[in-house]
Amino acid sequence: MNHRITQAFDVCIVGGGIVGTALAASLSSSPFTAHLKVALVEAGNLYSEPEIRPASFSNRVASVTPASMRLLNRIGAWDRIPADRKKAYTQMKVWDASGNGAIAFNAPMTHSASSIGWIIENDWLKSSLAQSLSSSVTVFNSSVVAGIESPAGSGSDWPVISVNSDKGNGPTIQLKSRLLVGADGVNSLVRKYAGIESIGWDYPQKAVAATLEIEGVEGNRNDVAYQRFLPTGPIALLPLAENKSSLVWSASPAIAAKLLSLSAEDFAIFVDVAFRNPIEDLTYLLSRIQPDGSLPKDLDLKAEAVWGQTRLETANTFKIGVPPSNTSLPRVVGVAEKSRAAFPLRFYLSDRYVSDHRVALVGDAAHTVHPLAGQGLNLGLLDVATLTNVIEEGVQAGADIGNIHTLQGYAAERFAPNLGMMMAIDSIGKLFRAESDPVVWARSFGLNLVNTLPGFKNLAMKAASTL
Amino acid sequence: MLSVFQAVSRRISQRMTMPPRCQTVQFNASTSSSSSVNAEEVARFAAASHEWWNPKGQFSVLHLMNPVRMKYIRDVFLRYTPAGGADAKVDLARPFEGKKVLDVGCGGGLLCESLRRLGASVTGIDASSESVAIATHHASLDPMLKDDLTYRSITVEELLEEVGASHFDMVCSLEVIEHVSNQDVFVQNCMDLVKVWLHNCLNRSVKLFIFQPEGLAVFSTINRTPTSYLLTILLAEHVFRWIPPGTHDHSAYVTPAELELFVRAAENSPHNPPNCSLDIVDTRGIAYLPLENKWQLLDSSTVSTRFPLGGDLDVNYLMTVVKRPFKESDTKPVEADSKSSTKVQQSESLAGL
Repeated sequence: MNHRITQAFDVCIVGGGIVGTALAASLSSSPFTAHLKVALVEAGNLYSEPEIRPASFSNRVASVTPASMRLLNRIGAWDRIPADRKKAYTQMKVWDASGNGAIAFNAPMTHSASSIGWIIENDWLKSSLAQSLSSSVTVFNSSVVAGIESPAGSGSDWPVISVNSDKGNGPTIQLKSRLLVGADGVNSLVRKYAGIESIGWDYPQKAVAATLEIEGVEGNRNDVAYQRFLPTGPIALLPLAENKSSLVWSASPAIAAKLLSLSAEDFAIFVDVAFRNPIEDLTYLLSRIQPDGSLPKDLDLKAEAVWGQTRLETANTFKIGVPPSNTSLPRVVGVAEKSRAAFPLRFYLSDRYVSDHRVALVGDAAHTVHPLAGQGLNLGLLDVATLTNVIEEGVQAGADIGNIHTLQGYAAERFAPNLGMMMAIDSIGKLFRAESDPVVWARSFGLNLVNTLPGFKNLAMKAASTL
Repeated sequence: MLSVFQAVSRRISQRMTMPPRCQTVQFNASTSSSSSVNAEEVARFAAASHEWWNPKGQFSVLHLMNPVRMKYIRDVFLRYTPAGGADAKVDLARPFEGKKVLDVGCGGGLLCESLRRLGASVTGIDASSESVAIATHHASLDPMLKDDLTYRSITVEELLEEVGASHFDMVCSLEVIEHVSNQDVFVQNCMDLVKVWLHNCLNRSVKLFIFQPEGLAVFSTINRTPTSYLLTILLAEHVFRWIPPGTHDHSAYVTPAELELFVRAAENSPHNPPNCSLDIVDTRGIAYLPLENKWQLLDSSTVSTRFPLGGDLDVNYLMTVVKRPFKESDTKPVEADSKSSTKVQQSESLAGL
């Protein structure tokens, strides 16, 4: 213990999540930056094996946009993900539960990509990236950052990172680095070291995730992503495999707790109700859930659900809560065992992405966003692409890549777009949680307008997929 | 929402801390009559030397300019020296590996550190020993700069005397000429230090096919025009105070034609072999864009749309001079893109006048 060794690096990345590992892999794969000595410090196990059994899918998934896909491809990670673990979706259907707004996006409308995006398990993203790391990256696996300080007296301003190997039980190693990158998430230690403030809030919401068994998908391909805006938050069904989809249901903590307490059979019916029934049905049925997760004996859940669905389809002059035309929603037939979990939803924003402490922040350390549009990870991967670019430029100009003048380019390019995207996501969320009539009417009108004007739809689509 | 904007404005108003003031060294620049050193100018830079590495200080405009001019140097170096060329295998991260480069008037070492990171073996000289002390100290903070980067408080005349002519693969002197006396002597001394190898002249008939060792020099300065007075003195020094008033003396600015005359005269230096040729292969404007807070290299197309005030060489410009052991007219230029070949033609036609 406390045997101290100091190693010098050009770049030290704290946090070996998807974004941090992607940055290390990206730097090590570029001919301009491959010579840089990169350290990657990960508290967990960077090399954990992802699930390969076709019947089993993790409940943590991400929607990867074509822009992110290009980065993963350049790094060499994309081909390491097996074809049956990256599910392309070519259509996106979005509608409003309490208004009649509905919109359908098709991939061919976008200019280049054949898919709107791919649904990929986080575990596979992580492992494909970890496998893509070259020997220029020194991995400090299962290592905890004990502290970060600026060296006293020596005149050098390179941050010194104390790392405890073996989950904090091993010897302490000191790393000093020209550039320190915080990829260590919403409670970033690196951000605290740099004195960068983060502002934001926890949404009064949680995301319930689950892996679902489905049947009756459109065209038997399961390549459509569905999202319905409920007043309590959006519910999304993302394709994973031919008969499997991933669920992300944002709701109040109370509702989330109720949904988790339900039996698997009842939960599957509730998901159907949330997608297919008038909103009052869902509100009513949620209110009948007992504290222990059971339902009263007098309630025939299945019959209630079917009755409501017929009502939505037949006696609904204004098409309130109806999905876009030509949608045949898949039916949920089961929930994968132990796949249900709830995650907090947050909105946090660092007031700067770089500091003159030789620090740059990427991913959730810089910005944590509501996963409403699936953009959190994609924003992080765009950070990686931009920071790689800025470092490449710096290397070509012989710049000190930890210098604030070099890093400023990264902040200048990412801060405003990320802020804009986050504000947009936040306000869309707020917009769809509103239930007052004018707001509902306006958003329905807006969605329908966008849906009927191809130019608008193309623009919205491009914004979402080139991101 | 409000708090986000507060955070942003706090970010903008964030103040940078000043680097620690270093121990100063006694100033003793040579003032002999043949020297190009302007004692008054040297004293002024010496007084401000602690500011060199303050990214928000009076040299911040230079900090911003550095990556742009470095990219220019990298590009011309790769295009005009044997190390580069279309089929040469260049280490993209260290294209100057093994090359000896001199920076005349290195100041705090902004350019030298960058040159060293690209692989060059760098000598930085400055008449101000204070600046040299700052440069040496700053380089010592970066472990990757500990070898092959030497700073000396010496004049270019003294260095020429000490190491002899034809010593460096590349000589850079950026934003310096406008601060020296005897500008013609200065340019000649810089050019004398650039390598040229005589043995190539013995192979004249086949020289197109063999390795052509030659060196180059890159100068940058400010043109003496009404526009440059307006921008670099009236606006930059007096209105916006980006740089301290008195930094520049408009009458000391050098026009591209004058710089070309100095280069032509340097061709006849006694240090040069008989057929030696100094070819101006590229002259390029570089402009500061205050709204974007960055510098940009110019070509005629950007000038007409974005800089209605004048031509692309009206204010700051860079000039690349290649030293060849034979006259350019003996053969065709090695290769050049369309932009630089027009410049070559221009300079040739000027020379013909």
